[in-house]
Amino acid sequence: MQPSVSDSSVYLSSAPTKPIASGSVATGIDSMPSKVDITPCDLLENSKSSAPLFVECNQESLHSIPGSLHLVPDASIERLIEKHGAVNLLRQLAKDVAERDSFISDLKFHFESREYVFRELLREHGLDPVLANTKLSQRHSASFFPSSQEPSIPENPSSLTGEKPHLYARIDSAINEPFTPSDRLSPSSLVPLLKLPALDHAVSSSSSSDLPSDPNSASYIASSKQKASSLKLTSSLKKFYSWTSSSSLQHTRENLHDSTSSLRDHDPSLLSSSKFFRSSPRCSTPSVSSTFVSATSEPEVETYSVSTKNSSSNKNLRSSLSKLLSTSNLNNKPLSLSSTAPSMPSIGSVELGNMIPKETQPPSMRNDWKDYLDNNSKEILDQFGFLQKRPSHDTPLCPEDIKLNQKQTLSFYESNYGLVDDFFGNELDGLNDSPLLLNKKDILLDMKESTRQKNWSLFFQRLYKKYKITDEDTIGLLGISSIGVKGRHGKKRWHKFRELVKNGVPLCYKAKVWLECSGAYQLHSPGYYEELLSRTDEVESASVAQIDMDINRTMAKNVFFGGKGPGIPKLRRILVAYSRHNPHIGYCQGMNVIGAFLLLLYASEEDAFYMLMSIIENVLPPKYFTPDLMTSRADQLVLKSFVKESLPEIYSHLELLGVDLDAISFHWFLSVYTDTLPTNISFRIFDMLFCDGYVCLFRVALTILKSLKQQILACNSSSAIYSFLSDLVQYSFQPDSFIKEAADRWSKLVTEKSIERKRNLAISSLNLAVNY
Amino acid sequence: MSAQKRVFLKVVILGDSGVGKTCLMNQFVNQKFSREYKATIGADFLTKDVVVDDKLVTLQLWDTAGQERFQSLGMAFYRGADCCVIVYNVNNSKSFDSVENWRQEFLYQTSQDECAFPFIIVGNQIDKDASKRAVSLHRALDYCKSKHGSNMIHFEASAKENTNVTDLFETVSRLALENESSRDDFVNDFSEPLLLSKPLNNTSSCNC
Repeated sequence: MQPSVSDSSVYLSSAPTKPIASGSVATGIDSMPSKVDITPCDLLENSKSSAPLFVECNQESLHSIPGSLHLVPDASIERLIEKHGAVNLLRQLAKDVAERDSFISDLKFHFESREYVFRELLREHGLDPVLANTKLSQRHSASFFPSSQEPSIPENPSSLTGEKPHLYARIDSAINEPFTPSDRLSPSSLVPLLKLPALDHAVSSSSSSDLPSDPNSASYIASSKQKASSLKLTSSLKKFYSWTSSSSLQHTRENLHDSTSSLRDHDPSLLSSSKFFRSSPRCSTPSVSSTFVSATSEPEVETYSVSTKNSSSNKNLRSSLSKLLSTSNLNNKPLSLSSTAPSMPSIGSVELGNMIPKETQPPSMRNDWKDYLDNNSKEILDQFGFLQKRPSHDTPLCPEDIKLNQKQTLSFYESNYGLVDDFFGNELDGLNDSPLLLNKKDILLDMKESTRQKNWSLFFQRLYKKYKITDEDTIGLLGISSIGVKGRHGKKRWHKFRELVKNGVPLCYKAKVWLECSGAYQLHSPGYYEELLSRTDEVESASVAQIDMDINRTMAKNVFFGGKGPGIPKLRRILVAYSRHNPHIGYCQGMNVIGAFLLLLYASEEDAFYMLMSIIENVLPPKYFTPDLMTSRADQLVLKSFVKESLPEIYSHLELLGVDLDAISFHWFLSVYTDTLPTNISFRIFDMLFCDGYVCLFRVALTILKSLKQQILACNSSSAIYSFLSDLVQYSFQPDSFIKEAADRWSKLVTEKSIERKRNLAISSLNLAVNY
Repeated sequence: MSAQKRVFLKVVILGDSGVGKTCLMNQFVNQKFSREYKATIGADFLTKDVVVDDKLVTLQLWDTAGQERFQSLGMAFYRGADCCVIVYNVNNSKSFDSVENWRQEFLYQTSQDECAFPFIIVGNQIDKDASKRAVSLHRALDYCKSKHGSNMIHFEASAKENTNVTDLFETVSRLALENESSRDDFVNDFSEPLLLSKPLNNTSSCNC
């Protein structure tokens, strides 16, 4: 029995160094989040991806590394505890972890800036980045790492270099140092820093089959209180892995609550911490790992399940750990999240993933983002990543396509966005050897996205500067609300923001921008989603039955869904949760595709749930999905009226052929264009939707008709029009001009006011028709 | 009226969610079966040219959403239909119970003459195991007989195994064609879209 519960030490040694046998982490498309799909091996695998970072210590065997506390006999550990006291020991270990983490951050930063320069060079010289990627991938990943020029390492690198001969000597000296809450680490960064250790902790604990029965492992943490909580933590973590993310948060909380009443005081900070995470679900997982894994260009990366789990586990572990830490004394000396500001702004609280919201460190974040951009054109995403794969009816993507796309994404992209992984899931296994292709268009799009991202970074940079917004203020938000709409400056800024949105929200910002712009962020209340899901005693058969009928036929052509994809249980849960949240609406077809669409972007179910809620309750007008579908029906008449006014030629042609436009456009509206247009356009429409509101629905419809005018007029039968307009998924619109047109051309004519006026009339005429 | 030489027939397919409306339609039009059809939102459209009694007709199939609340859309969808197909799942008794519902709703929304308008009642999914059968052929036929004087024809079919699908739609075409003569008047009767948009514009100009 390894004393594996000896938490942080496990991390210190094994995580960064131990080369784990690589097996695909992909756990299979069948492995739903609700099942145990994170095996300990997966997690290690996951953390292993950061291994190349430590090339210099990589060569050392596990045993020779100081800090391999998990390998020493129990008795030794007990002696250590006796000697130093559990608190000191724990603190020391935590500190070591923190330091290592910042070291990793430094390296990561370093690596990224190099990579960025590299991409720039490639571009300048007109070289194909994919070709370069392929070549690089043929070389050993280690050669990729700047081992020669390590960035400045934190002052106390001793724990990292592993030169000291003896474990105990090292621990002695380390512990004898006076402990000062490191001023270079912000409290907010400290806890996340502890994430990985905790993960490993969980891993190893769950790998030792029956750990709670092992007293030694617990004795590592001396005080009985801690013992209790650590045990419970482990068991709750176990539960966590064996079930889904969120509910176990509650387990953890409850357990910890049981064990220490004092924890309650810390709850607020925990909430804020979880909020913190929630807002950056996609950024939360191992970006370091992605960096280096992808440097070796192994496309299998982590599967969806791993990445999502990790992101949600962050939340969990973070809160449980902060509890654990706060119990383990620290007498007020705040490890609590809400305390003081970091005196040093930049350094690497980036830690092992972009767990920390970008706002915490605007400069380095931006660097990150630029890098993502450079390396991965958003359009690749759009076309192949989650976007493309969506419900395209008539052109199933063959696995080869998927594969190509995956390969095209350079470096950071894949795992930073759990998405791609989400998308491809296991389908990619065994496809790794097909040739790479990239056409000029993709490169072009790549650059476009890169420009976009730069513009966005700049915008927020200015915004933050203007308002002197600091990390603390934003708690993981981009701070869109501070843009303001009032006053001269506010208007100007808002205008600028809208322009940016019009050009497309860069993928890395999308999730957050949507959350904030749609108001979903405000809707979030901690624990509510879990609570909805845990309800059992409700009469809801109709909605749930319909959901069960529909989830398997939603986005059938998307690997993530498509009948048995890993997204289906997630989709089911958010739909069921919503039907419980709002029994009056329950479930209405159309919500399924919207939900699925959101899940393509949001790794976190909870975020997707609140987005769905926000779309239904904030963005769309009321009564869109209610059983009488009143507003949505009325809006088709409103649309017709707009068509008549502004596109008379088309209108009369449709009338002549006897086409009921409302029969077609109803689908457009109810699905919010998520499965009626090419995916890249759908994403852009969502960008606009959250910026402009539901008027966007009408403007897009008019734009569709207008840009298809020739084709529509060429149709000489109603059937031709129906088949043409009801299947536009394959039609290749030009996204930029399409969105521009939708956003600007109709902005005078199609306003909320004019819509509402028409809608009122339409509703009364519908009511009239019913009565009649 | 436009001078179209072809005959266009509009066929509306109704029935509870998941009974296999889209599958039936796709089997007929594209000769393929897939479990991967998406849930229909609003309506989907397919067309197929068929020859009925030496006459070339274009069937315009309106595949509607089955969820109950979409019934309120009926008015938009049923307008101008020449024939109505109501599908149920022979393994699901509830879907059969809904058939009468759908029929009444259709008649109500289109103000059709119950006796004249052609309905085809289709029991789908007969490929499933016999033990799962919830609606016997006998029961279905009884139901059709019980509607005295109504123009109803019953089929049992399997979209999956392409059983009876062609026959079914051949009958649909024939009935729709027979009913077609009434269609012109019908179309003229239903000009709500025009009416609706007129008052809209008038009022909005008043408001300005």
